Amino acid sequence: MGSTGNTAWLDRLFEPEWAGGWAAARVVFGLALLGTHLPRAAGIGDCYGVQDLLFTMGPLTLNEHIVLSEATASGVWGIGLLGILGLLFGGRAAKPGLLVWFLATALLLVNETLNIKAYDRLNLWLTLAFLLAPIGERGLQHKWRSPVARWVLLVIFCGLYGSTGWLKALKEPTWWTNGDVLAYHMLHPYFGMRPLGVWLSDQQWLLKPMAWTTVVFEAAFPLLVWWRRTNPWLLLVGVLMHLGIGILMNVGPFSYVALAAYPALLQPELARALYAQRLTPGSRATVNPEIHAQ
Amino acid sequence: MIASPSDRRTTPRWLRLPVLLLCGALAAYFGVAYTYALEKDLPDWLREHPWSLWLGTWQMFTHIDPSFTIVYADARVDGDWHSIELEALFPYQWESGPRYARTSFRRSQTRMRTLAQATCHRLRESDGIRAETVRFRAERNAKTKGASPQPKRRTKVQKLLEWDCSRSFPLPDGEVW
Repeated sequence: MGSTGNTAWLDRLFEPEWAGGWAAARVVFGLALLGTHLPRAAGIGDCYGVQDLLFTMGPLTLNEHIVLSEATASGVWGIGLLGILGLLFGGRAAKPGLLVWFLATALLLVNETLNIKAYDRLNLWLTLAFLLAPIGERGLQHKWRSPVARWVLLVIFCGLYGSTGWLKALKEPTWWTNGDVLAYHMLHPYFGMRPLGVWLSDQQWLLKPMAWTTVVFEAAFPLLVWWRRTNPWLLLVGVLMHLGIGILMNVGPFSYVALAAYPALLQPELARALYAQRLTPGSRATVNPEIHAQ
Repeated sequence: MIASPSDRRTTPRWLRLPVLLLCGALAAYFGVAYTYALEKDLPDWLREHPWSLWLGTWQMFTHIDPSFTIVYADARVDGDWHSIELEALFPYQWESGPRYARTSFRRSQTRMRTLAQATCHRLRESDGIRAETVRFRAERNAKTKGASPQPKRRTKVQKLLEWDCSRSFPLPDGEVW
């Protein structure tokens, strides 16, 4: 990639990155989508494809034009499932599969209208990143590809964690004081009431550091995720936080949808070194010195 | 050992500027969404298009919530009031609870009337019960740390809606596919 003069910085910026992380992310994302999609089948007949409980909301006015019957909603759900299987199969089926799942799910969500969750919106953004990623190729462990999809993913997660972290830090003082905010979330009749969460709601000595860690992790994410030294440790805290949320609260598939992107968020050369160690424990990956120097 | 980086490709030069603009636009969108996420004093353009930032707004579990609310319903049949198991009538639940559990749902008369009409309809269709009237109330209780199930404490009851089942409420009337 010979370059001179004023385009050299662009060439350096767009230096290809190890793409193996996307291979893992594709599979985990496919499984996360399965976890989101399969339970929706139980909603056909009560929410999707019913005619007695129809709504519109803001720009979501599909039901004024088309109302899905139960049979059509079942068919759309089935098509979405096929799309996920395509994504999981990989290769040339991956991107069309992802797109098919996305369109089918969008149709169901707009039909249901009211309960488009945070993880549905996160799935939408992740779909954008995955469509830009090289997930349609096999053997990504041996390939280096454009960093653009990873940038998009980083911007999405900086927006996600940064927003919620800084809103907590600046708009709700109880995140800093006594941990009550976490205690009460764990006692929500639907999101909470998990046995461990109920017990924890009365353990202020644990709640305080947990609340602080949550806010500091989320608020610091947009600053620290780009830096190679802090990137893996930050993501490790993120994994622990999402696993903790998954154990202590009932937030549906949010935790594993978010975690699905982590293999691609990990700094690619570190991910490559990890992958090499997995292949031959004790060995070190051959690191491209040009990339390593960044 | 992994092979040396032989298969390397990146974004073609002509596409680099558009890609950088896309990333910048995405970052700006999230930044603007964050700026107005919890603001009450919104600019005119956002008041006119309140949904425009929704896709990028993440305010999950930000505020403290020391109480919980459950929606209950009764049906009047042959002049007597009977409680209705709403969760049996509308069984599908998200992690946030049943469809009607959200605060925004309870505050919307349109949604509550739709729910009331559907309640009359489903009672008749599934249980053969011809209700004359259905009514809904929201019970708000203070949360108690460490307790499961949560006791009812400092209860506040809010009447949501009383609906005559002989009335008709217009629903979105798209073509059924």
